[in-house]
Amino acid sequence: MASKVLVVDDSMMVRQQVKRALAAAEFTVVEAQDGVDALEKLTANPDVSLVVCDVNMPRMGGMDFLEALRKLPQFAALPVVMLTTEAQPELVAKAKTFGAKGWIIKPFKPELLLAAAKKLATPQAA
Amino acid sequence: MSSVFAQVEDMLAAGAEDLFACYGTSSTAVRNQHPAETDEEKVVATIGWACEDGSRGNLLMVAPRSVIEHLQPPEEGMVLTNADICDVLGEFSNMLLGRLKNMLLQKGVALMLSTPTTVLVKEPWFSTPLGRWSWMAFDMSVGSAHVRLDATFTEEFVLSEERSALAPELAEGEMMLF
Repeated sequence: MASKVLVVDDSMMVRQQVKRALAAAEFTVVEAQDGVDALEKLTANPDVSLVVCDVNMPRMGGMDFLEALRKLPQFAALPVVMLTTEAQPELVAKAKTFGAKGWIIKPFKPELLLAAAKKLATPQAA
Repeated sequence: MSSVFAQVEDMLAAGAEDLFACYGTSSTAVRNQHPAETDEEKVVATIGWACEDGSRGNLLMVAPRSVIEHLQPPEEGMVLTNADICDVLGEFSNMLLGRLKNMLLQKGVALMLSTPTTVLVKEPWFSTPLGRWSWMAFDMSVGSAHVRLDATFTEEFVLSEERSALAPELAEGEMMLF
């Protein structure tokens, strides 16, 4: 069964790059433009097994999304990898506190993202 | 010693050269070159930045469609729409200012950034900011991208000679799994 990945980024270019990188291992990709959209997409796709999420986005940024996600029991343990231009150690530490599993600095190397996805994503029951 | 503005300008130039190299384009910053006045439509992307000490400014990136398609070619059989080229340049401006932010963190300065705003326009006219500003050009085989740094620095904006405790553990393109 193919794993489903939710990519959350306000840039279409980044979402397409992530989609292309993950297509190599036949991941199914669902897209969201910001944290609000991501929470809605997760409700519609409870079988998502990994989230790849930007930090700076309109409406709801990645850190607020991560915090909101952890308050939802069904997604409390859902693996999240942050994909961002941000590298501030205190932001990385905060994400770790909220249970993020990884941090990647843009522009990303497709093979690194794919390796992270293979390691962290496990197929979920719908 | 060069001024703070000149030091930040040097970092921005180096960051842009590295960023374009990541996308397979080698281009060296040419200082004091502003966009040429042509009929060609250009995308203008802008992101504001500020520091807790009151320093503030903007980053402007300007590029025609040809340059944007060169940096981020469309998939085979696809055409980049106006929304697509605005999105691409917006993301490039985000990645460029992100690089500058990460370089400045090593010097003990933390920038706060806005999200990018983009516009597609013919014959853009650029107002002159009140603080310091400078243009630089990046020539590519298909045209040129231009970057303008606008900055007003307070006296508290000081770049540390030592590597700061704020310095990121990761560089662009790197990954950390927890």
